Amino acid sequence: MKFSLKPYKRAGFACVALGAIAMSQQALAAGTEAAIEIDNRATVNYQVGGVSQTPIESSPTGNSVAGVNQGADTSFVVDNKIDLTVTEVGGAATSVGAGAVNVYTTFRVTNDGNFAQGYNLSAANEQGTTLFTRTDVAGASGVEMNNLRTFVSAAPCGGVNPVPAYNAGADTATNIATLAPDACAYVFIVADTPVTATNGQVANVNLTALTRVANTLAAIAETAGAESASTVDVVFADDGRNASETVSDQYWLQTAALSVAKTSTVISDPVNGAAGPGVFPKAIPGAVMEYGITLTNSGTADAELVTISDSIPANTTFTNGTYTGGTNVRITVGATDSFCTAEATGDTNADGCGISGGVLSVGGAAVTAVQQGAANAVTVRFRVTIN
Amino acid sequence: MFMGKKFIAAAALIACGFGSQAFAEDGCIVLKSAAEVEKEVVDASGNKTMKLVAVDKAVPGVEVVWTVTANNKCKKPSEKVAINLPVPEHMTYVPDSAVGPGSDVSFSVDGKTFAANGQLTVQENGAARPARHDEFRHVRWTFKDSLQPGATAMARFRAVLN
Repeated sequence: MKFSLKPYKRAGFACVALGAIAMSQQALAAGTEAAIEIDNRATVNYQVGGVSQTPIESSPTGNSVAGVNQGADTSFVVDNKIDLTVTEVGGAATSVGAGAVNVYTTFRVTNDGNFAQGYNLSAANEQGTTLFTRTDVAGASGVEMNNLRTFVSAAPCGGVNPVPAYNAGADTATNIATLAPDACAYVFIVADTPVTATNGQVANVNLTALTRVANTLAAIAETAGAESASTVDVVFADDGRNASETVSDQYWLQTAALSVAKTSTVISDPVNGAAGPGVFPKAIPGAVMEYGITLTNSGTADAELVTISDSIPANTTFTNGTYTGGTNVRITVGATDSFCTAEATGDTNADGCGISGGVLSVGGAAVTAVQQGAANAVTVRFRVTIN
Repeated sequence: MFMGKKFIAAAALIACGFGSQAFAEDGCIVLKSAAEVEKEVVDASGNKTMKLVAVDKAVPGVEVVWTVTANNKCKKPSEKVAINLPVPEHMTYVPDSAVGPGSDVSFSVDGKTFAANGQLTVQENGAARPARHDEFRHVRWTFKDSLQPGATAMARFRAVLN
C-alpha cells in the first residue's frame, strides 16, 4: 500500500530561486526529513547577433518562454527511509532471586530514519542461547521468566540523560507512540521469576521493536513498484529490511547457599589445667568447652542473616566474661574479630546477642549477613563449663 | 529573436523582483532540467549497463544527477551561452562531478562571485580560504562556442541528498 503524504516546500522565495543562499541545512544524522520537496530550476543567458536576450528558465519538459517565472521547477519529494536501532543497556544480566516479581531488563530504541515513527514492542523468552558468556538451557532443566511485559520509560532519553530505573507508576505505555528522527526511548522488559529457579540458572529474553505509523501505530509496508516523484514512498533501510529489530538481555538467578559446621574444643579442666604444649584437658565436670559455629556461603549472593542460634548444651553452664572487655561471644568474619555480651535475660544491651530459654541468639547489631566466599565465613564462639 | 532592451549579462543573475514586467515572449533556447539517478540495467544477454532514470527511492544519501539541456530552436546561432543551475537546499555537490562539453565550469557560494574549481574562496575569521565543495551553492557552465541552430548543449552535475 502506498503511504501518501502531502509534500511541502520549505520556506521558498516568491520569485525565481537561484539557490537558497545560507538557508540552514538540516543537520540530522537521519538526514533530510521525509516529505520535503527538493526543487531546482536552471537559467540560460545568451546573445543573438551580439544582443543579450532575456534569460530563459528551465522546466522538466523544456521551456523556451523567456522571462522570470516562465519556467517550472524540476522536483522530487524526499521519501521515508525507515531505520531503527535497538540496544541492550547495561552490558550485564539482571541478577534476581527465585520468585522475585517485576524484575526488569533495560533497552534503548532509536529512530534512525528521517520521519517520525511509532513502534510496537514485544518480549519473548529465549531457549538455548548464550549471552554474557552464560547459556540459557533449553528444555525442562532450564528456566523461563513468567508474565513478560514491555513498558516504555517516561524518563527522557538521549544526550546527557542518565539511564532510568523502571518506575511502575510512571512507565505504563506498552508501545512507543512516536519518536522523532534521531530520538530514542528507554524500554523495559518486566517479568516474574519462577520460585523453582535455582542458583546460577539463566533466562535469556529478547525485545522486538517493529516500526509503525506514528501515534496510530498502523502497519507500514514498503512501497512496491516504481518511485513516484510526488508522493512519499516508504523504504525499509534497516538490517534485514523489515522495519524491525530484536535484541537480547538476561536474567541471572543468584541465591545464597549456606553450610553450617560446628566444632567444640576443651579449653581447660580442673585437673590438667589449660590446654597447651603437652597439656591435654578433658571434658570432665568443671572443664571449660568452647563451641564454634561456622557459616559458609557458597552461593552467588550474600545471605542476609536474621540470627544464628545455638542451644546451650545440657549439663553445662554458659561462661561469662570469657573474652576481652567482659564479653562472652566472639564473632569472627575472615580475619576480623568482634565481640558481644549475651545476657541471660535476653539482649538487654541491644548489641545483638542474648540468651533466652537456653538458646544463644546472635544477630542484629552483631552479625547481619554472611557474604559469599570462603574468606567471608562467619564463626560464632562461646564457652560453657561442664556441670 | 530580438529583444528591445539590453542588460548586462556578465554578472547578471536574475534577482528576485528585478524584472517586474513578465514578458511571455518565446526565446531561442528550449531549456530542460532533469533530476535522475543511475540504475544498473541488465539486458536479455546478461550485459550490465548504467542508465539514467527518474529519481527512485529519494532517501538521504541518494546521489542525484542534475542535467540541463539547451536546444537552439532559432535560425541564428545563440552566442555566449551560459547555463546556471543551483545546488538545491538539502543537497551537497559531489566533487568534480560537473561536466559540460565545450564549457568552462565555475562555482559560487553567494551567487555573485563565480570562480573555477579550486579558485573560489570564502572569508573565514577575516581571512580568505578556498571554498569546499560542500559550500558550492551555484554551478555555471559558460560555453566557448556559439550554439548553432538545432544544436543542443548539455550541462550536468551530481549532488547527494543530505
